[in-house]
Amino acid sequence: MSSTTMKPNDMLPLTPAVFHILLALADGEKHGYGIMQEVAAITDGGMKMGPGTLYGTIKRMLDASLIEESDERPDPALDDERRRYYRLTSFGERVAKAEAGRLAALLSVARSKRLMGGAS
Amino acid sequence: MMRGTIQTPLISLSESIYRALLIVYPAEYRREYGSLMVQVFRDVCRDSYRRQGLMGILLWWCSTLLDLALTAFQERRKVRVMISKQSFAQLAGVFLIAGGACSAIGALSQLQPDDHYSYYGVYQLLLLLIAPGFFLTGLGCIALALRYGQELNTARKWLLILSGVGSLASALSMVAMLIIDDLWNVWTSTTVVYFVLLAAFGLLHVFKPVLPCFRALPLMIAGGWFALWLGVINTSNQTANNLLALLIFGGMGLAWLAIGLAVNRQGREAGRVAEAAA
Repeated sequence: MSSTTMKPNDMLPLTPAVFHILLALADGEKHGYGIMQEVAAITDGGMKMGPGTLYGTIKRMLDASLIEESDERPDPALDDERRRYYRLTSFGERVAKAEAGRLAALLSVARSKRLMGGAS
Repeated sequence: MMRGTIQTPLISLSESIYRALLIVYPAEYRREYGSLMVQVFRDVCRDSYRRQGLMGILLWWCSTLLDLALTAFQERRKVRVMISKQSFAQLAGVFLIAGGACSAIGALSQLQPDDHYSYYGVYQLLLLLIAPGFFLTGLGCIALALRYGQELNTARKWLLILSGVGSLASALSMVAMLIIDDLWNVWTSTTVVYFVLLAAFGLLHVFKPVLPCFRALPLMIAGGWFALWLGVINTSNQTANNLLALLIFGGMGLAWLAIGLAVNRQGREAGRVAEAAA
């Protein structure tokens, strides 16, 4: 699966784990534990990934070129240099936007059918 | 984000057990991500301990075991690596250690002071370890039978395999009982089958031991279970009842743990001998 042969829409819909990791990395690179913390924070603790789910998903996202390992390492005084950092690729960013757009369209339909608050 | 340096014996032990359990993942995956997974596991352990103490670590373990089982299955299926009969047999010790540990820790659920019609709090969490304990022990029995297949005669080999199947069925019926209340008899039947077959194997093993541990231990596991179970049935005193149940699951878990450790030790020694000979 290569980003050069795929369009963002070909990847949709994303699994919750993939989309949450893309969201966690949207504002900067993070290591595995940082991703877990960010996912827990943005879901208000509703989604807790175990190490197996986290790295299994990261592996698939690396294979699909949605994310990549960052070569830059933080100051060792500030962090454990053995950690690996991940960041979005440009393809991953486009896929995240496409998924967000898809979900927004669904929300719009839900609102129009008065299934959500704020329906007009 | 430098993590705190809390390192209690409980966190160290948890980390060691988790590191050992990673063997269930494919080797290539483990090499690539194993150390990172351990690092994340330890980080969450420390945070959980800091926030909720022992309860936090127990909760983390429950979700980690589920995560481990599901994702290991996915990774193995994905890379289409079927565990061969031989490599499954090599995991006998690991299955028994993990199963024994789950049962022994889960046995602490029986310390709940009042009746056991329903469990609550930490006792409920501990109880959740009993079913994985039986499941892993069942896998361990089958793997043991394959590993020592040449030394065991046909009868002993099949008794061990079928007792393993009984343990697996017992574990699955325990899980099913969470959904359907009326399965108590199914659980009792499968568990009795497991221990009857194990007792038969254990009896034969006393006369011609093969497993690298006390020759009477398998018989003691089955015999002890029956003796204590009869005690539970015939005891009306709640405290004695709870204590007997604690001994049933705890004793069984520790005994399987001892056999698993002995099997692994023997495997390592055999490996060293083969290496030296080569």
